[in-house]
This record gives sequence, structure tokens and C-alpha cells, in this order.
Amino acid sequence: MKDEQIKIGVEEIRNIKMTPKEKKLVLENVLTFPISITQPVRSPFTFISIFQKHHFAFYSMASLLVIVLSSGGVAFASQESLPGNILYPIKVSIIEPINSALKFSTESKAKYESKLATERLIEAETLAYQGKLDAPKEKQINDLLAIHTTALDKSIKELKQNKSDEVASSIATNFQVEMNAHAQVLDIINEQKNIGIASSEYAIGQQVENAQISTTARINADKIRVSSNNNNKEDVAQTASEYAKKIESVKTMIDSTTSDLNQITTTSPVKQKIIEDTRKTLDESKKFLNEAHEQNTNGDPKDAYSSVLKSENAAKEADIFFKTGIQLEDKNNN
Amino acid sequence: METNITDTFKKTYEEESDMIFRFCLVRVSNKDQALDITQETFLRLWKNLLEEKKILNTKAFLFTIAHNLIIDWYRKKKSVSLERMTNNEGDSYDLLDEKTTSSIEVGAEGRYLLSKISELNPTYKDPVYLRFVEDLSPQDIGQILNISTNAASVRINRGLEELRKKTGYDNNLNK
Repeated sequence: MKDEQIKIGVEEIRNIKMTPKEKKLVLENVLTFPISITQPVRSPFTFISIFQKHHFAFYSMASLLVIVLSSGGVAFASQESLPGNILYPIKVSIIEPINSALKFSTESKAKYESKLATERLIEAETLAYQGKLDAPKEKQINDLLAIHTTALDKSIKELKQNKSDEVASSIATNFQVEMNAHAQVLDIINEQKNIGIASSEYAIGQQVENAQISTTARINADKIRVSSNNNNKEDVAQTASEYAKKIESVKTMIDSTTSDLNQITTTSPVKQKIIEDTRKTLDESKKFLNEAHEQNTNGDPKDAYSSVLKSENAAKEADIFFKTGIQLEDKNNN
Repeated sequence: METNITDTFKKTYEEESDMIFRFCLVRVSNKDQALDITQETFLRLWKNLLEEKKILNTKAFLFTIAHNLIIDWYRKKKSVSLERMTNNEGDSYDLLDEKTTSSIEVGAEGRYLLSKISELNPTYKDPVYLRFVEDLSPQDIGQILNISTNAASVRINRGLEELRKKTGYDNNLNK
């Protein structure tokens, strides 16, 4: 047998062993050796310690990190997506609901939902301007608007329950202003498209669809107004200085928008229409301001303050409408 | 808990201590030194068990510790010249120490084989000894010597060829 002699040698080498006495002595020495197994005490307050102690926390955090890092690009890319884009469902079904869930306070949640509703209208405006707002997209935007409005309504009711009437009222007012202003922009786009593309069936269809979104926006604005104004009309008791301050703020707003209007030199038909409508809304705001002045002079401060608020809303609406309309026109012309 | 650890340790000691002692003895050629290194090797294992550190392959762990302690011992040994150390010739595979030779009963064939393993190329000594004397797998040998399993297999085969030539057993078989 090959290597047989090597095997014999190996067997002989394997006979080399410790004597039982040596073996016992070594074992005793090892077992009785004073071993210090005290380890450095880790601070229980560091993140590392938490992860070392709770492996589940470590794995959860690691998984989350992987998801965030790997989906970061998609999430970022989906931010600018519009209905019809492959990334749009990621934006509205994943990113935005997660962001909303992560809002800590009811106030920030309400503001976020209001912002999302405005974004839906801006998306509708962009698509309408590009002639890409078809029935499925319009339905999708309408459905999303309903979802945002319901969430906002819920948050506003919670704020009112928590005695945060003023905050609730402010958020609701801003929402109404945004909805009305963007509805007005949608109406203008709709009107211009209708004129531009004469009597084609497509244009007629578009008119109906855009009108539906602007109508939904106005209905939602009313819904939130009703929800926030249930019982706070009597609560508004303003001092003279606060009233004066509000008047000044509205006047500044009107002046600022008027100044912006005067800076527009080159006027396309669309811009011309935007300027005209902005002036009308500003006139309305000024009218409410005059009414407030008269009511205050007649010793009716409550009505006067109510008129100031109406004036403020109109001024805000004019400002948003003007800026959004001009931006959209410039963006699409470039 | 500690009783379990003690039982585990005792069982491991009973099964592996002779193997480690033998490995140390043929490398350092000094029985007392071999006993010291064996004791130190098992002390490290005992400490690791008490600290509840995870050891995947106990046998490979013990051989790795012993191997490193032997290298340390050679480095500290004053009688070894720098030249011998750099040539990796410091470690032998025999029972040269007189005291050891007289106290260990090894047959002539065993002594002859050890002396021939000692003459092998330094890179083949450990793989050949661990594979054929201690019956370790190439994977374990690779782990102990910090080389890949493939490299361990190559060294084992080349070392065996060289050993056959040096012992002359190869020629006898071919006749």
C-alpha cells in the first residue's frame, strides 16, 4: 500500500501524549487561573450601545437605511412628476403619505395637506396648459384633492377641539385663498385654450374637465370654510391696535401686488387677462377695506373686522393668482 | 451557565489536549516549553468561553493559538539567530531535546518521519504535519495558517511529494 510506512510513522507520532499527571496538572492550572472577565462598561446612552443590546433595533435601522439609500433617487426623481408619469404613483401613494404620517403636530399635518392640495392644482394647471389633461388624469387629481381636503378637515377639527381656533382659522383661510386663486388660473387656461383651439372636440372636452377641477377646488374651499367657521365668529374680539395692524397689513399686500402688476410690460393675451382679473380682485379687496372703515366709523367694530378679513382674503387671492398665472405663462413660453 | 461552560471546556480539553501538546512538542523540541504553550493555548480558550465569545471551529481555534504562540516563542528565543528566523528555519519537527527524547516513547519510524518533515521546505512543514499526523482538513489548515483552502491543498500535495522523496519511500514503492 502506497505511503504505508509513512502511515506507520504517523501512528507512532500520534502516540506522543502528555502523561496523565501532566494532563491533570495543566487542566487544574487553567481552571484555577484567575481570569478577569470584567469588560469596559458601555454607556447605555449611546446609539451604538442600543444597537449592541437590541439587535432588532440594529437590523431595523440598517434595513431602513438600505431602503432610504436605495430609494432616495427614485423619491427625489418623483418629486417633479405629473399625473401620467411612471413615478407619479410613488410620489402620491408612498412619499407624500409617509411625509404626512411623519408630521408630528396636527398643525403641521394640516399645513402639509393644504400644501399638497395646492400642488395638485398646480399639476392640473401645468397639464392643462400643455393640453395633456385628459379624463383619467382629471379624475385622479379630483380624487386626490378630495383625500387632501378630508385630511385637512379632520386636522382642522382636531385643532379646534384642542382650543387652537386661531391656528385652525388661519390654515383654513389660506387653503380657501389658494384653492380660489388656482381655480381662477385654471379657468383662464381653460378659456384661452378654448379660444386658441377653436371648436375642436378635444378643446370642448378640455373645457369641461378643467372646469370640473376648478369647481372641485372651490367646493373644497367652501367645505373647509364651513368647517372652520362653525363657532368662532363670536370669538373674534379684537383690540383697536390689532385692528389697525391688520388694516396696515392688508394695505401693504395690496400695494405690493399693484406694484408687481405695474412692472409687467410685455403682455400676451393670457397675461393681459391675468392682469385684468388680478385688478378686479384687488378692487374687491379695496372695496371691503372701505366698508370696514365705514363700519368702524359707525361704531360696529365686529363687522368692520369681518370686512377687513374679507379684504385680506381677496388681497391674498389676487397675489397668489397673479404670481401663479404669470409664472405658469413664463414657464410654458420658455 | 458556568457549569455548562466548564463541562464544554473539559470535554474539549480531553479530546484535543494531546493533539495540541504533540504539535507544540514537535515544533519547539522541548517538553516543558510544549507543556507551557499547551497550557497557554487552553487558557485562551477558557477565557474566550467565559467571555461567551463565539468560536465556530474549536480545533482550528486551538491550533491557530498554538501556532501563533510557537511563532512568538521563536521570536523571543535568544539562541535563534536572525538569519534562521528570516529563513523560517527556526521551527523544527523533531524531538531533539535530550530530556524530551528520553521521556517520550516514540518508535524509530516516527522519529525518522519527524526528522524528514523537519527537512521539508518551510512552507510545506505545517500543512503536511497537520494533514497527515493530525488529520485536519485543508479548510482547517488554511484557516490556521491564514491561507486559502486551495493554497493549503497545493502545499499538502507538494509537501507529500517532497516527503516521499526525502524518506525514500517513494522509490521503494516504485520499485
